[in-house]
Amino acid sequence: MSKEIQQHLERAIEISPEYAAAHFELALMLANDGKDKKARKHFEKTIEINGDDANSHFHFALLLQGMVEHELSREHFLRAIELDQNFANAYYHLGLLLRDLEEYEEAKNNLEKATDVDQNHTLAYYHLGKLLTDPEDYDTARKNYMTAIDIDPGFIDAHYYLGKLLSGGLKNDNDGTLVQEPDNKGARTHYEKAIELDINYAKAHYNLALILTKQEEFELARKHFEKAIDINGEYAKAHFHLALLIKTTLPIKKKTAPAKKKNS
Amino acid sequence: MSLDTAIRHLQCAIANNDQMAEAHFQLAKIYNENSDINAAISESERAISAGIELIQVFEKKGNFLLKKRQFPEAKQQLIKANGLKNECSVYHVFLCSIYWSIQDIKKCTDHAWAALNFFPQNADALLYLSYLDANAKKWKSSAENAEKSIEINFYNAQAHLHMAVIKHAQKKGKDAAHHYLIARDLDKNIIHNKLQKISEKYPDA
Repeated sequence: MSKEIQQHLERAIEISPEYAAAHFELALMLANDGKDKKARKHFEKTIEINGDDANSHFHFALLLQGMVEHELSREHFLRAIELDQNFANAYYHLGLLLRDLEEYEEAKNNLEKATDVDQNHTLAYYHLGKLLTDPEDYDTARKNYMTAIDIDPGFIDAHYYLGKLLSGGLKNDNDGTLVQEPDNKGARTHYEKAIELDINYAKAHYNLALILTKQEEFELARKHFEKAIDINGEYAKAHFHLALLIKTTLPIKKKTAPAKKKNS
Repeated sequence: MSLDTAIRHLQCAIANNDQMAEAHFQLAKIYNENSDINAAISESERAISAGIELIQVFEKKGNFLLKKRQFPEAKQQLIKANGLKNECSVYHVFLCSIYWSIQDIKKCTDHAWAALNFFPQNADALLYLSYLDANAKKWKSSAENAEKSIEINFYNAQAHLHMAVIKHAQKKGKDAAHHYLIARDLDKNIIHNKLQKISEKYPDA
């Protein structure tokens, strides 16, 4: 079917080489099939014919991002936004591109803009939460994850990363002093929810086990460490913390050969 | 569950991530508890070299982000590097304790200084320097290092006990009694016959 449509579009372009919509649809189909170079040619033609279509710039930017042409991709995202200042997905994808380019402040600004324009943009809230790692942004990060979860209660990764934020608990208090106040109870709820949604979420089992260890629920902690290792046998941190747990819970052995006494 | 299981999991952790410094270190501690000194030394050295490699990675990344003016992210990388420096300092002190127990003075000294190089406020490293000086009967410098150690960590009973020994050697009975009594306050299990007698002479020390 898609091959047929493609042939029709090619025929349409043969008849009318300046038919922008045909170039655009064909470019989308080619990009979807992974034929990037051909898709690029048609996107370029679409934009040459009609440079004022935000959607064309946006999809071309996505293609360029995939082709690792970051600077050009950024230009087209920006052009899309210039043409349509309510283009939430353009802000969102530009945010992700800037994150990959390690331009975090700009990335955050664009993700925030995406959520301003589209207040149900779950992914934008989630990725913004992930980027807000500075202790002074703790509350904002939490709110973003919570909003993502409010919109989509089955958003597994949002539960997991909210759990991580809460169990880390690094934040600035009212007078700007750095404090560490882990909310283990809240974190536990979200790790458990992530596991309920995906029983094979190794990292959620591992992080839940860390909290259970702190809460001295050693037996349950051991089970979750073991589950994490069952899912991913190469999970070094899970092996490490399970070893520590085993060592901690072993009966204390009396020392037989004390070390040399220190000068006293 | 046994210690062997713990060892097996630590070995698995290392097999999957050889750069996991803390796994090497935990293994070193177990070997040391089992009096396998050579294995403990070699695992501690691996912990240190893994730690150093990671410090370099975090510092490089942090400096790169600083140049890009990505300050919060740069700060996080540099905080991680700093945390690892503290850990490496602890690993060196652990080696210090091993070499001290087998009286390899040269290596004990080297590791004490290496620990301070990573983290100048390492109270335990300063205490080992003090032990080493006392061992060479350099009482003045021994007292200076013990004092620095106590300034950083007042609640280390062993440091006060050692300071009491130094003060006794310097024939400062009242000071010796003072530190001995603090050591006893901090750890009731500490008993030193000679210092006990001195402290009885100075009940208000």
